[in-house]
Amino acid sequence: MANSAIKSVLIIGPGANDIQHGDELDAATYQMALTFKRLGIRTILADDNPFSFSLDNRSVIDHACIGPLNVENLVNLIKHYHPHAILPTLGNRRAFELTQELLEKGILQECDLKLLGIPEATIRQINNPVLLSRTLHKMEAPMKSVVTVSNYPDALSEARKLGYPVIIRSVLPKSSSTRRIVHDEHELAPAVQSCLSQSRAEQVLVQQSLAGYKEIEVVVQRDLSGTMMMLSMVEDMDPIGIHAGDSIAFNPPQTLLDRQIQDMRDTAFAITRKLRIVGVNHVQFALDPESGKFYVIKNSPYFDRIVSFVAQSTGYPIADVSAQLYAGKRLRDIDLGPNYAPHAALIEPAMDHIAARVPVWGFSAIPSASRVLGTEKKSIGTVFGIGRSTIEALFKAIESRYQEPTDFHLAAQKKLTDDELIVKLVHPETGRLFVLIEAMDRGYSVEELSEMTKIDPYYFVQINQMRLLIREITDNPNKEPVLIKAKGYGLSNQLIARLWKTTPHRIYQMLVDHGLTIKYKEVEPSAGEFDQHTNIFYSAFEDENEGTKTAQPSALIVGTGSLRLGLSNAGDYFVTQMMQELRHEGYHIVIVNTNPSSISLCHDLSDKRYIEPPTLENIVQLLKVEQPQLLFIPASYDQLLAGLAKVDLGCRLIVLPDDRLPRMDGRATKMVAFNYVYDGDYAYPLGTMTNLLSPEQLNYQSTALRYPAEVPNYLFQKVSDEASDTVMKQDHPGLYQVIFVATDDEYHQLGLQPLPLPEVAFLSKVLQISLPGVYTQLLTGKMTAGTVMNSLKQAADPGVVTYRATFPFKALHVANGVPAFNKIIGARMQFLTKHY
Amino acid sequence: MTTRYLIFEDGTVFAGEGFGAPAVTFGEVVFNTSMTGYQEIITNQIYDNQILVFAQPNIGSYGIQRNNYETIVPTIKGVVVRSLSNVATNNVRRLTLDQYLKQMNIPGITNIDTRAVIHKLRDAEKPLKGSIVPVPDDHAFDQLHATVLTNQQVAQVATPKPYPNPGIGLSIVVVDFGLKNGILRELSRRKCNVTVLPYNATADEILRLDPDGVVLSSGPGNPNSIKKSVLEMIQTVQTKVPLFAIGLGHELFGIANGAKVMRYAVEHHGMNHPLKEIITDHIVYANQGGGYAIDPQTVDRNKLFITYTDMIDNTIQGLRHRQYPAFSVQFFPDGAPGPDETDGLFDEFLDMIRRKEARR
Repeated sequence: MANSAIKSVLIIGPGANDIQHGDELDAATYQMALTFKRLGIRTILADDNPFSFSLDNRSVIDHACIGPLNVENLVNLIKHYHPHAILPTLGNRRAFELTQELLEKGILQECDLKLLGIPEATIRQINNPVLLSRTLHKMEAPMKSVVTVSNYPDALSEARKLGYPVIIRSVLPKSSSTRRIVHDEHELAPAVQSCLSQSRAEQVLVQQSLAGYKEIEVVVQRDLSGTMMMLSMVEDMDPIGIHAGDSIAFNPPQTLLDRQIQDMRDTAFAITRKLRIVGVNHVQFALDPESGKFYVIKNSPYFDRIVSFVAQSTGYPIADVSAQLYAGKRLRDIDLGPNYAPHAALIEPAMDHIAARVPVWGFSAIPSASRVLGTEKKSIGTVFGIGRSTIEALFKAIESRYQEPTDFHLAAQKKLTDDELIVKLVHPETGRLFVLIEAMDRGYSVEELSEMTKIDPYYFVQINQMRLLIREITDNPNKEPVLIKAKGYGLSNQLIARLWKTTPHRIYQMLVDHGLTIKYKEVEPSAGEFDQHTNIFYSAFEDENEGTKTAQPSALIVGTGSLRLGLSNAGDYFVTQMMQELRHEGYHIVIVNTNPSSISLCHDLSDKRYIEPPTLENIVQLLKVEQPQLLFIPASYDQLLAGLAKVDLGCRLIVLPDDRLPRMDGRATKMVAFNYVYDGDYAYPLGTMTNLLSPEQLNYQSTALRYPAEVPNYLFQKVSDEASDTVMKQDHPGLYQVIFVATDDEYHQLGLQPLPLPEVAFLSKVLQISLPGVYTQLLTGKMTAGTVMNSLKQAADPGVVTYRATFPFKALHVANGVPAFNKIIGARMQFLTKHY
Repeated sequence: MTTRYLIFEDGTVFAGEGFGAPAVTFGEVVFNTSMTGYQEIITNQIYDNQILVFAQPNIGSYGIQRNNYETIVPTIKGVVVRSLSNVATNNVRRLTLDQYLKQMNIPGITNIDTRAVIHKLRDAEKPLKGSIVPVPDDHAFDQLHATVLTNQQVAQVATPKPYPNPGIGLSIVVVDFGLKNGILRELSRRKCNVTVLPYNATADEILRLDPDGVVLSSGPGNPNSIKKSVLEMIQTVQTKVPLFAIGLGHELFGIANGAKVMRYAVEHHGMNHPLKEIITDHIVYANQGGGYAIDPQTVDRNKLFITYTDMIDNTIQGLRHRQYPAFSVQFFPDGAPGPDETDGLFDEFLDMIRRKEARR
C-alpha cells in the first residue's frame, strides 16, 4: 500500500476552544490516535489546550507536546521527533494555514514529510478562496456568481442580470466593514460608491445573494483508490443568512427530494475527487427551493462539529475509518470488528431515527451581546436529540439544553406584543422556535410564516403539530391516551406536568399505573438490516426494547452536556478522565450525554452511551435498567439533584463539581493558591499558582495563571503550613485550594475552595498526573498515599507554566468585554522552559 | 385516524394508525432502507404483491411531486411507516401522501414500530405474508392464511398494448415487465425514439420495428413464473440487436442463457450496498430492490461473464454475454431514487449500438 512506510505522524491540534469548535477535535484526535496505535503508527500531538483529553493520554498518544501552535514550535517538533507524516485535518483551518507555512518554508521537503489526507495543492486551495473557486469553476461545479466591476453603470447592469438582492463588496478593502446587501436600485448607488471608495483597487464585487436558500451540509469520504461514499446529509432548518451552527439542524434531511440529494451528492463527490482528498470532506450547499438550483458555498476537508454530529447520529465510526484511510488502507480493506457486518465501512449509513441538533447560547454570562442571528456564529455549544419523528427528536434536543427548558421559553413568548413578535419573526433571535410556535398560536398561516422566514413549510406543519399537541395536552388533563401520544412525541414528564398543573412524579406514576414503559433503541448505521451494535441508545415509546443491563459492576455517569462559558470543556475533560479511572478499577461505564462533540461519547471510553436529556424521569429509568453501583451527576444539574434526593436510588450518588467558580474572580489584586489532594488524613501538596498581571489592564487577571507562584522563601513555609492546616480541617477528601491575597510582605488567607475543574485540567498537565483519576480514587477508596506521592515525585519539574483563558468577546462583537471566570470559552497553556 | 393493524401469518400483530385507503390487503412484507425518495419507491412496480416497510421513519414530508412518479398506477399492496408527515409542498398541485394513497386505493399504516418489524423480517430469513386489517381477529388471520398471492404479476402490471415515447435519436424498444419510468427518463434524456411493447411481445414483433437496441425492463415477482416464450424471445433478440436488461429483465436474460435464479433469504431493498464493477475494480452505489438473484453456480462461463457483484451479500449484480452485444444489471441504473453512479450504463448501451452500426 502506498503509505505503508508511515511509522509516525505529527498531528496539529486545534488549540483553545472557541466559538467555532468544542471538543469534537479532541474526540476525533483520541479516536484516530487509538487506530494509529493499532496500526503501529506513532503519534506526536502538538496542542496547547489545557482541556484536551488526548494530550493526557500518553498510552495512546506517544508524544503529547504542549506548546504554542506556531510554525517555530512545529519545526522544533519535526526536527526532534522526525515524523514520517503530518496530519492537518484535526486542527481546524488554522492547521491548514500552518501546514502551508511549513510547505512554503520547505520544511516538508527537507524532512521528507508526507501530507496525510490532503495534497499540497489542496492545502493551498482551502487556504485561498480565489484559487478554490477557480478550480470549482473549471470543473463546472455550481457556484454563486461574482463579478468584479469598477464603476456604477457596470455594477447596475450586473445587478440587473443577477436579480436583487445582490451583495456589494470592496476588492482589497481598506477597512473590514465593506459588505452591503442591496435590495433594489435605490440602495445600489450609495453601496457601490461607498465600497469603491473603500477599495484599494477601486473595484467592487457584485455578488449573487444566496440569503433565504436552504443550507445543506454533505459529509462524504474518499479512499486512496478513489472509492467514495456519502456518510450523511444534514439539513438546516433556518435558511442561509443564519449561520449553520446557530440553526436547528436535522440528519437525515427532512424536506429534500431525491433528485436534489443525488445532484448534491454528485457534486460533493466531484469536488472531493478533484481535490484528491482522502478521508472526510464536508461540503456545504445553498439550495434554491423555487428553482431547485444549488450552489457550493464551502468545502471543509477536515473534522468539525458536523462530522462529529454525523458520526454520533449514524453510529458510523468516521474517525476510526479516516485514520485507516490516512494510513493508506482502502475502504474495502477496513474491518470494523465483530460489532459490524463484514464490509460495514463500505455501507453508506442508513438511519431509522431522526437526529435534531440545537444550538446552545452563552448569553447568560454575556448579556450585553446581541441575540439577533446572522451570518456569524453566536452559539457556543450544541446538543442533540434522537427520536423516531421530527417532533420527538426536536423536543428531546430542546429538553437537553438543561439551562433552557421548553416550558420556560413557551411562557416567555406570551408576553410579546404583536409588533414585537413581527420584529422577532423578521429579525430572528435566539430561541426562535418558540417565537414561531407563538406566531402560529396567534393565527399566522404556514404560508405567511414560510414567506417571512424562508423556512420550509414542512417545519411549520411540524411546529403547528407541536403547538396543537401542547394544546391537546393542556385541554385534557390526566387522560391516558393523550399521555401516550405526548410520550410518543418525546415530551418530558416535566413539561406535561407543567401543562397539567401537577408534578412530574404524578405523571411518572400515571405511566407506571398504565404499564407504559420506556424502551431503548440502538443507533446503528444499517437501519436494522444487519445485526450490528454501536452501544449507542435512545429512548422510544414503542414495542421492541433493545436495551439490556450493562455488565456489573457499573457506573452511570451523566455528562456535563454542551460546552458552556466558564467551564469550557473542562467538564468533559474531568468526566472522561474519571471514566478511565473507573474502568481501570473494573467498573463498566454507562454515559448519558447529548453533546455530539463530547469526547465522553467516544466509543472506546465507555461500554454504553445513552443520548438522552438529563431529566429526572430518564435518569430514574436508567437506574432501573442499569442498576449501577455508582451514579455521577454534575452539581450544576440542581433540579435533577433535587429530584433524585426524593428517590430511592439503590446506588451511591456522587456529585461532580462542575459548578464551582473560583473565589479569585473579580479581584484585581495578586493572589496565590496553594493546591492539595486531601485524603482525609493528609494533605498532599500540588504546588502553587498565582494570577497574572495584565500589561494592558494593569491589574491582576484571575483568568491568567502561572505555575508555580513566586512566594518569597521566608514566607513559604509559614503560608504553606497555614494552607495545609485549613485543608486538613475539611470533612471530606477531595481536591482543594487555599487562596491568599498577596501583598509584598504579607499573605492573607481568603479562604478554601474545591479546585475548580479548569484548574484541575491545567494542574494535571503541569504535574503529569490525572487529578480527576486521583479524585475518583478518593471516592472509591482506591487511593493510596504511596501512589499519589510517587506520581508527584516522578513528574519531571515542569518549570514555569502559564495558563491563559480565552473569551468569545470578539466573536460576539462585545466591545470592552471584561475577562471573568464565567465567560471563559477556552484556554491555552505553555511551558516557559523547554519541555517535551 | 383510526386504529389499524399489521398482522403476520405467524400470528404477530402490530397496532398502528391507518392512512391512505381503508382497504384490507395481503402481501409479502418487505423492507426498504433507502434514505430518500419514498414516492419513487411506492410507485415502483416491483412492489406489486408486496407490503413495504420503510426503515427511514419520516415519510411524506414533501407530499407527492409531479416529477417523481415511477408509474402512473402503482400496485403496491400497502405502506408501513413510523411517522407519517401529512404535508403537501408541491406548488402546482397540492397532494399529500395520504390523499394520494386514498386515490390509488392503497392502504397505509403509521405509528408502527418499524424497527421491530424489520428485525422480525430480517430474522425470519424467509418472506413473510402479512395483511393490513381493521381488526386483528380470527377472521383476519383465516383470510391471511387462505390468501394465495398471484404469480401473474407481470401480466397485471405491464402494458397490454404498445405505445411510443418518440424521440429524435436511436430507436429503442423497451419490453415492459413492470416498467419503471426512470428507464424511459434516461432514454429520453439521451433523445431515444422509444417504443414500449408488452412483456409477451415476440421476437418477430420486436424485430419488425427494426430497433437499434432493446431494453428489457425491471418488474415484479419471480422470473420463473414468466412463460417460456419470453425466454425464447430473448434468445432470438440477443443474436440480432444490442440488448440491455434491468432487474427482472436481467434475471430473465440470465435464465435465457442457461442460469438459474435463487431467492434471497431476506430481500434486499435499499441504496447503500457497495457494488463492485469487476473489470475496473470500482465501487459504486445504486438503487437495489428485489427478492431474486442469479445463482453463481449456474452461470455458464462460456456464455456469460459476471460484471458486477454486491460486496455485502456477494450476489451477482451484472452479466454480459460473451458472444452478443448484450448485458444486464440487477440494480436500477436509472436511480429514481438513488445514486446516479451507474447511469452511464445507458450511455454504454447506446455506444454499443453505435459501435455495432459503425461495423456494418
